[in-house]
Amino acid sequence: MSRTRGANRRRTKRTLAALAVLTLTAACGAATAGPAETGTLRTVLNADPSSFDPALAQGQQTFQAASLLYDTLLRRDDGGTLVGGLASDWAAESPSAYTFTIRDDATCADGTPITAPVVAASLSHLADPETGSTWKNLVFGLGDATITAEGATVRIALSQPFTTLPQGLAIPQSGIVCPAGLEDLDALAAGSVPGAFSGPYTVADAQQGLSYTFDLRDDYDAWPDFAEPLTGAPPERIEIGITTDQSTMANQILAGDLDLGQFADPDAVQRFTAQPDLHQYQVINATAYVVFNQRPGRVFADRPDLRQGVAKAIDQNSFNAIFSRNTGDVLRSVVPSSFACVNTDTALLERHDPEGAAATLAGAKITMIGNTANRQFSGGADYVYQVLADAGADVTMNKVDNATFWSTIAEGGADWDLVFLGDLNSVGSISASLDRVIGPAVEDGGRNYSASDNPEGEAAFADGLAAPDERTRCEAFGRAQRSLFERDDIVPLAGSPLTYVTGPDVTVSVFDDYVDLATLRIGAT
Amino acid sequence: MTDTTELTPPRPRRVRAGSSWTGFALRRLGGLAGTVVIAVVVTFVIVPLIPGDPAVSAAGPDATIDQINRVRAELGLDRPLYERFFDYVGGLLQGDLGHSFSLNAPVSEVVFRRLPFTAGLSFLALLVVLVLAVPLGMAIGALTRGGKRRRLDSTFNYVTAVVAAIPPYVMATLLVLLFAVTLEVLPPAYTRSQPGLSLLLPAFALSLPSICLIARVVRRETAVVLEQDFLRTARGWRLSGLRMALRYVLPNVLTSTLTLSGIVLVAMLGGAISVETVFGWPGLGLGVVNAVATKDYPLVQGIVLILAVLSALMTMAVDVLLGIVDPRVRGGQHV
Repeated sequence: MSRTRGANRRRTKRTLAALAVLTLTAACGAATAGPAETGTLRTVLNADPSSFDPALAQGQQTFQAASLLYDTLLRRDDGGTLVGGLASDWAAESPSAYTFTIRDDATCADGTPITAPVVAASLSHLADPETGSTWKNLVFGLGDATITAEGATVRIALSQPFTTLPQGLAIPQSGIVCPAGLEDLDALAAGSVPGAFSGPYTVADAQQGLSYTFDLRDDYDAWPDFAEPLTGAPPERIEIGITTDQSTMANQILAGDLDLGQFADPDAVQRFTAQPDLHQYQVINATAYVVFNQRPGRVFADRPDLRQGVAKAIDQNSFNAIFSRNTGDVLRSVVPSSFACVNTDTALLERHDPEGAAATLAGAKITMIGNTANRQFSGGADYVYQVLADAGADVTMNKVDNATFWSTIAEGGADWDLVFLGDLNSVGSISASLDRVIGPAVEDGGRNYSASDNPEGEAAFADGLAAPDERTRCEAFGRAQRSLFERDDIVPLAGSPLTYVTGPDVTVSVFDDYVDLATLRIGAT
Repeated sequence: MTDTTELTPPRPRRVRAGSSWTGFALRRLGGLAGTVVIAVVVTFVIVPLIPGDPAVSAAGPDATIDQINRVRAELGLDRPLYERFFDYVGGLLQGDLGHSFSLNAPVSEVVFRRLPFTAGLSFLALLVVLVLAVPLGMAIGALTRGGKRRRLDSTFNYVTAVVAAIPPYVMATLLVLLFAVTLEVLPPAYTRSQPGLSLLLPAFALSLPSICLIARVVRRETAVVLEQDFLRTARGWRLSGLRMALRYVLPNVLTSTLTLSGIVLVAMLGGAISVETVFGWPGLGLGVVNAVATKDYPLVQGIVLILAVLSALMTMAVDVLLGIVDPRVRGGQHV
């Protein structure tokens, strides 16, 4: 009897041990095969793409999806240069007339050849005010654009000179939509027109709110000729999840469950320092600078001395230490140092002078809006608030979420005097940031949040947009920047870094501060 | 002369089981309907109080005022609140939860795509709770009966009190740190290729505090039941511990366990919001967090409404179960 009981006990123990081993074995099998074995790259976006119509794209996640699905006429390359995308050649006849020769070997995902009329129709959709694209003015300028096809050439005629057109035609938002997509705009926006795509990938599956799968087209061969040729193979499939939590993403990268992640939080990036097999690519994703509300009746209107006081109160390096933990650079203008025509003269900037700031700011009533988009922006707002309060200003700060922040400053009559913007310049041209503080105000159809009255700056800005060559363009934009500093219309702060982390087998190309996801490669040497 | 009627003892008023069930069901259905109505009104009124303009959020920071106004009109946000409310209720009556601003898709489609994830997570967590908490509580109750094994009793009380007090998101972070980051044996977040394995950590994060809570209640109930006279009799019959536990102890602790389980399951739906965020688990919890961030009013309203209805349904289901297990709960049935 006791022997039987003992045997039963032993059997139970063995069964339990076997179960534990099985569980552990199953668990240890958790590590999944990587892209080198499967050809599939796993990544996440911080939100769903807002639309699969590139002209209606909003948010970086949407631009990134568009860059995989749609080819552009031109593509960015190293050193601020452009290379051909769907265009094999291009020329500026004047600052308001451009021609693009379309390559003859590109096709849509449904096999339709991408010809000049196809390109012209897509760009006309972008330029059409009825489309309601927020990128129309950034690509074609404030005037009208007439786009026509002549043989293999697309001609773009602008009613106002706009020399940054080529840069605009390299952004994913100006991606070429094939005829099948333009025939059904609702389905295009939903990503459900397989023939709409002109880029290397198509949407194989879209589960809004959950996940997306992009498949590499078998027939695609319109890769650009970059100065440094790409090596390795493009992922055959890209699986995209949606995650907002940076720690979760970092955990997944470290566990080998993700092959690409994007991190704005320096603390999350810090976790990869002891991981030499992972690749890190840091870019300045956005720039932070102070903007003053100069509408009549506001405290900073017609008060350059007060604006100068704010500039003196702020120490860029201290701000940067809080904002980016010194992982970004302090700015000399409204764009990162990698941009063409950026100011490099530090003498133009106000020097940190707390006493001088106190002399002008004491008692000034300032309403400030702080953006709580993430820890960096929230901490930066706290810093600006504190230095102004230390200078004796009577500061009221309203800290709001990102959408509230933008909706407040987008209204001309809203109650604010000072903000610092996080300016995401997706065009890669300084003009797309200068018009945030020069030119028509937002309530007048422009992009100028400050509503400043700066005729000298506006003239220089217009000269820059009409300049036929880079030298004169940079000279004009240089004058525009100088006017901003002389008037103390802005206070440059720091760049907001974004770090792309990829797994051991995965690489991506970075052109200045732009990461082109269509250059993702597996097994590159 | 004697009045016989006065001598006759009053007959107990019998209510047929059927009628007690009818009254019970009507009361519960009334409660459910009331909950749904309140949820519809409250979600509709509260959600627009989320700071920020959804039109700006949808149009993007580069939009002009005209473009923002155009988007506002497209989203119907330029219409008075009462008009939108009646439209919303009219849509609900036809099974239409609205159209998501941010995803450009019907809310019902998005909700029902995410629902299986939250349902799977919550029910696995509840299963884990019931499978572990009840035997654990009963075992500890039996082992510490009559003041025996005081050290075990105090250790159990201390550990369960501490674990039960840990919020789900802290528990989630600790589990990720241990099993995913340090030991590297389980995925740290939802992985499409391994959804089953990905479910384990979130389920444990959600269930561990509840296991402790219910185990404490079961332990106390078990201790009380074990002191009852009929259990002494049962012990006199030399029944095995397992048989005694299943036949006599379990039915007596079931009422309180079921009542608590209903509350725990509803609480799990709430806890799922933080746990799903930590684990990137694509359920309704993560969905509502993302929808709030993008000011997607219809999606927030839809998800909150579905969660409220699910909570009410689960509470009702537990009530029905309790009514079966313990007829006194139904009320109106007296012998």
